[in-house]
Amino acid sequence: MGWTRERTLLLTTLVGAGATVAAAEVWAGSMSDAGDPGTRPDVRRAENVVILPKRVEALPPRPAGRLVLLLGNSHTYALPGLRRGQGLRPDPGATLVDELARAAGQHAQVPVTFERLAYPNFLPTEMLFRFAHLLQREHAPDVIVLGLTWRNVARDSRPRHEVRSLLRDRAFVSTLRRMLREARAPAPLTAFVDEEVRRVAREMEEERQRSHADEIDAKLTEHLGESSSLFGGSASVRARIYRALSQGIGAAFVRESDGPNAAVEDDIALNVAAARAIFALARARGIRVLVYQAPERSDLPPIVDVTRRDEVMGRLGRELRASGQQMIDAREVVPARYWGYEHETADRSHFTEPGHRLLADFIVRETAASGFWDLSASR
Amino acid sequence: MRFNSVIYWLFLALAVVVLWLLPPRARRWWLLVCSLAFYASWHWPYVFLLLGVGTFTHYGAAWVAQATDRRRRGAMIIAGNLLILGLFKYLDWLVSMIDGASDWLGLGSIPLPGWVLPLGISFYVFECVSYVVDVVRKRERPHGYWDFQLYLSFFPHLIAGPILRAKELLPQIEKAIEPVTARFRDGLWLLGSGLFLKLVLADGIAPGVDEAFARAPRGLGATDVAVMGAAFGIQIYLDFASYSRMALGSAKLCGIDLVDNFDHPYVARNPADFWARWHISLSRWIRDYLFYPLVGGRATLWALCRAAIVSMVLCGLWHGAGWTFVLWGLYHGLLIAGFHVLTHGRRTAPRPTSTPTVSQAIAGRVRGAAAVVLTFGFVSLGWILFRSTSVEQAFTLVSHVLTPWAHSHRALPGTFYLHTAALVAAVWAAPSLGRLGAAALQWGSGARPLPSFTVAAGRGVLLGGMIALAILYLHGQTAFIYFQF
Repeated sequence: MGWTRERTLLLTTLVGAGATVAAAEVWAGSMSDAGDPGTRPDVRRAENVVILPKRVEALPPRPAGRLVLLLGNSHTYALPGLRRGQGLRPDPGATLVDELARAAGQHAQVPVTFERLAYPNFLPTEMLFRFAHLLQREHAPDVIVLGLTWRNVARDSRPRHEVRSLLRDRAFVSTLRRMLREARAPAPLTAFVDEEVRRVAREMEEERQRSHADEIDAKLTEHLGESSSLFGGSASVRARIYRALSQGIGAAFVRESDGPNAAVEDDIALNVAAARAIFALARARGIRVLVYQAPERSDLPPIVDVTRRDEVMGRLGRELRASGQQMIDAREVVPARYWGYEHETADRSHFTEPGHRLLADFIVRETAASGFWDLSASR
Repeated sequence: MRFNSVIYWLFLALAVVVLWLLPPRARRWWLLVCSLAFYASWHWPYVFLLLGVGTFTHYGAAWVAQATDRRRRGAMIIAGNLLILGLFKYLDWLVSMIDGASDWLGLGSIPLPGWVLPLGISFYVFECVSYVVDVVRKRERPHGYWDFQLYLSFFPHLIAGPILRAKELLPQIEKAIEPVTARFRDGLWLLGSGLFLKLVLADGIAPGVDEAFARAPRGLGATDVAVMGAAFGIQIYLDFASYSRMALGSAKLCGIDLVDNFDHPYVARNPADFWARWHISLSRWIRDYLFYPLVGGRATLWALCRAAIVSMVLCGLWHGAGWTFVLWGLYHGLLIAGFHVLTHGRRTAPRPTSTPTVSQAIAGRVRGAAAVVLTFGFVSLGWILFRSTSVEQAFTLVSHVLTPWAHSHRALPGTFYLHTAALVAAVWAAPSLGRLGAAALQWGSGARPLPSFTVAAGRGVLLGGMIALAILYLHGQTAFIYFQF
């Protein structure tokens, strides 16, 4: 059979497809960025400040002496862009935990280590899992500083894969269940944990059934991820596409008159129950708790319905104070000039370095008078 | 090996390149080797089950063909096939029900067998059954042993169909398999577009659907549940249609044509029309081997309704061993029965010979659009039953959507609503877009039988774009929903 016109056309199609994929590869290479801002590699922190890894299996041993643990979402570490079009900036070593070490360290009387454990949109249910894990691993702090954001209380409660993976460990599951009983957790919270345990068991069963071909495929995909921007940088490129899409959708459909997203009662109930369980476990172990309502932008309307916020947070605050623990309202501590941008939109979650300093100073100022930071006689 | 995995792409490339390097008489043997290796890559012991089912059916069909009373022998071979399907697919379910009853009576618990469900067993057992029935009906003759094994195990359709009749595949295998350039071009297009549908569109909406169905049902409002039904309906359609496209594309690269499984099901105007467009190879099987025999000689309204309900309940049960699937099948049976009640005895009005007036044309379009939307709504409600993990969840969700005045709140994010709406719009627009594309190709090719170079290059750019997006959205293998059936 000779070379036919049909074959030439097929070759044209193949060349067109190949050229497009190659162009996409180049484009993806130029588009990919670091994703999660993380910490700048050259950053130098004070020796008594430790950033705990997000991976649960990478938990280091507890440092000796007094320990303060900061729990919160990305407002504790990410910095917004300074100009429209800039993305989040990596932690330069001058964020909340560093400022807290500076400000609170002066009152501590004894050497103190400050640890930060944070995830983007860190939910109270997830905080409970991680806190229980710290207790199980004998990594209990003397003080917990817990930043709560209404958005993370009212819209979601399901733990992300990284945190849920704790439930792969049977010993941890039985510890968690024992702690829930100890904290007198309500039935919906224990049912929620049971469901998550079942979900993880299903995932593990699926993994157990993975064939050799699946394992080879995982290795091939990993190898391609290292050698191709389309594969390897796909997460950040997808994030950019989503941002562009969501801005387009926002411009086309979303009106301020549409109002904020609804709060979800079940999520509120679970998150509040989880927070109460953390407080109860801490109280039983003599761990001091300080909860602050994280700063918000006062110049923009809220993105989640806040109708129930004051009632829910007010009740939590009263319960905390009644048991000798602390809750302060830091929502208006960071003025508008210390907020920034996340790409093309005004950032509602993160504030610049001066904002972190202001927040740390506020937290310490509001609580120092009661001797909260004097850790010489803690526990 | 899933079609959306790197290892499958390498496997397919190797299979296709070697296939066309081999002499024609060796090609079917190569395809058989590839198919068995493909199945073994998942769980090698079950290759013997596949070969065993094939051997039993092949020799059983030959035994049936020798008999004067084919029906009795045919029933025995079919029963054997269904027994194998029942053992692997439904035994756990039956034992768990017996266990529940035993527990209730205080007789202690019964351990579940816990056998791993062999991939594709529902599909290849149905092919065996159709083969035996066709032999009984003298519509099919017994074929060669290894050709029959390749018919069952041919890797593009082995795991999730299409469910082929013997006459659709065996004649292609029995003659020399030859390369055809147009088939190759179509195969690449089907593979690329299938990957795009799966990785970008189906897997794109999947996390939102999973998250919504994992929520406590009582926290969801009526519109939430309605959107969840629509979103899952779109997800399962894109997921399965993408699989079918990739199956067709893979087969074409191997020189084989398979039947398509979908014909724009969400533009169906009634439940019967939906099933004529949805999972066509299964619908056809149900129609020919269940529905028609159940209707019998006289198509009375009662016979039609009874046959529709029984067939669809069994169709639901085919999808999975669980009461939610039975409910889903029953629901569709009732929908089809209701449709028969409304239309039975009505003769279709003859098409007007004169051109309709503008108002008549508009009224026709509005009626058509309303029928499409109504059918979509009914089908989406059914998907709630299908996707729910328990009967309790299914009833709670359905009760919410049926009482919107009592569940007016909204819990799911607006982006999920928009995402679903965009996909529904795209699925509804797809037939028109397809016609436009075909018209554009015609325009590009003029009177010549082949597309011009510009059209070929444009097709290449579009294909490359879809592949690039698919690669961008590939993050580990994600399961095809129909693999579990």
